Amino acid sequence: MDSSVTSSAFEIELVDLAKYYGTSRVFEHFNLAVKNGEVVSIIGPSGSGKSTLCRVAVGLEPFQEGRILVRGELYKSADGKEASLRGREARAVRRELGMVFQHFTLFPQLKVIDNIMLGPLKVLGLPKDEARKRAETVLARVGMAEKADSYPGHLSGGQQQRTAIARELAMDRRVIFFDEVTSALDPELAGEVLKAMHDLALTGITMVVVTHEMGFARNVSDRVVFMDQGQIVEIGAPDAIFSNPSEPRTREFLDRVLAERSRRD
Amino acid sequence: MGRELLSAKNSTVNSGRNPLTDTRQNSINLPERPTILGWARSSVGSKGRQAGGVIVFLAVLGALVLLFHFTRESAPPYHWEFGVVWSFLPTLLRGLLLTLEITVLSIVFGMFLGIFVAAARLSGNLLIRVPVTGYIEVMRGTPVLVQLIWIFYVLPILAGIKLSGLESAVVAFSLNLGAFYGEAFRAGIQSVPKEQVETAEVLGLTYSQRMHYVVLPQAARNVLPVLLSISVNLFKDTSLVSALGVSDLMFLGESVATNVFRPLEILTTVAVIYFLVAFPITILVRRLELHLNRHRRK
Repeated sequence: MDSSVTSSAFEIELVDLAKYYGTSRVFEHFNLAVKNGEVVSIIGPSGSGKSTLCRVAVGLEPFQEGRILVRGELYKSADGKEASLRGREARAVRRELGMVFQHFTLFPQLKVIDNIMLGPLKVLGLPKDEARKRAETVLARVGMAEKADSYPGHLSGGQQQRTAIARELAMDRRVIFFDEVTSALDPELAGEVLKAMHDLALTGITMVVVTHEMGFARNVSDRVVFMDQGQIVEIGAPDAIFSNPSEPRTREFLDRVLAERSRRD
Repeated sequence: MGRELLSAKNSTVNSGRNPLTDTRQNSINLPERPTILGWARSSVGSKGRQAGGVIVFLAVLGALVLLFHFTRESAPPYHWEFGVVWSFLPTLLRGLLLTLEITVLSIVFGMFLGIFVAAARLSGNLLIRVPVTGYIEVMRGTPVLVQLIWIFYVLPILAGIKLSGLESAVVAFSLNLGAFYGEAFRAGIQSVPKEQVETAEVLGLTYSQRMHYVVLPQAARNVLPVLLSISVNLFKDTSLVSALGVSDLMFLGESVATNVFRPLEILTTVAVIYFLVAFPITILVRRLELHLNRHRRK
């Protein structure tokens, strides 16, 4: 795998990451290097460590082995074993890594527009009119412009999730992690969120998408990672993974998921 | 009042998490749990609730009248003379003033103390958390009257500090409230879903920004009803200071009643005065609560 190459051609590199809760393993030997503008989907059965991987990558949880590089520079190593970015530089890098959660995590006491403006105002330090202009732009991009003055509680799940995506866009992220962002939605609401993500993918932002939406993984991503029981089983182009998986476990998983899908439809 | 905190909806698939921390965010697709309280809240507006309060008040009055009516059959007739109340009303109102003074002072000190209590309870340091937890349990597990009397009689003997009845009352109630407010603040902070804090963290907000913009506004909304009920209870509990000879509304009411041999009229008036203060406060805070919840799904 090409993950050990230290080159700024990669936006983010996860090198031999391992995460344990006590002695129980969440994932290990996780190697993934994501190129600038690439869309990588991570699929796999529940409990395979996909979500935790997102949380580790954006810094919400510590990890026990490996390191994370951002554009070739060591950003974080397990338990700080190696010198990595600190202080102001680390915060600057961290600011470039965004995440959209499974459950709509808009701030309920703030209007949609204020949800979007909070980060640009308080974290990026933009002046108010500029933050507002930016918020209006990103809301328009996800088709939420006319809901700017609504409270999140008055929006549908799909609208909330699109707002959450807009909030990440307003932060000038270089990489956005999506943690099963459509799992809690009805299929039709999921559709509008997936479309927003598809549009996003076309703009060239780097995306790592943990998903159960095989259609999205197949049609939108540049590469697909299949994870099972905390390990990468297979990485490849979507066509290769979906039409001709080399690992039996991948094939088994896809057969099961697709069968479930057709039963549901 | 724990209703806000306790009625956490059984949120979707993500079990294994504290239901307290798991309220509104996921409530979007889920119907409100059909509790009677919930029904009453949703079907009756704030006007309706005010009317409800008035109805309850009238019902209680009616019950009293009936009671008097039936007791009259067996006992010698009692001749009500509310005229006597008017001449003593200024005295009673002077008592009310002291009652309010004790209440307000205790609330102010109690809130201040409560902030530290909550911080200590949320602290990772056992040396801080354990003693404060002990203090809370003592305050919750003993009667307020005992606390009052202990501070008034025992503290002077143990510590050589002599406090007046009024001072003892404020000290005792502040200590008591500090425990209850502290627990309310803590529960409020913990009622904010974990994902809210994490989202704020990923957004890049610092710890104090997360508290200021994300956690505290939501916590305040959740604890407001609890704080209200604690405070109104305190207002009523201050009547216990009459045991220390502090001339509050209750004490003056009792002494007037015995002096003029009109206990029924005077004590009923005292009850009405307490009610007239407490009831509008509950209404006011309900209004405020509605205002704070305006962003929730209708």
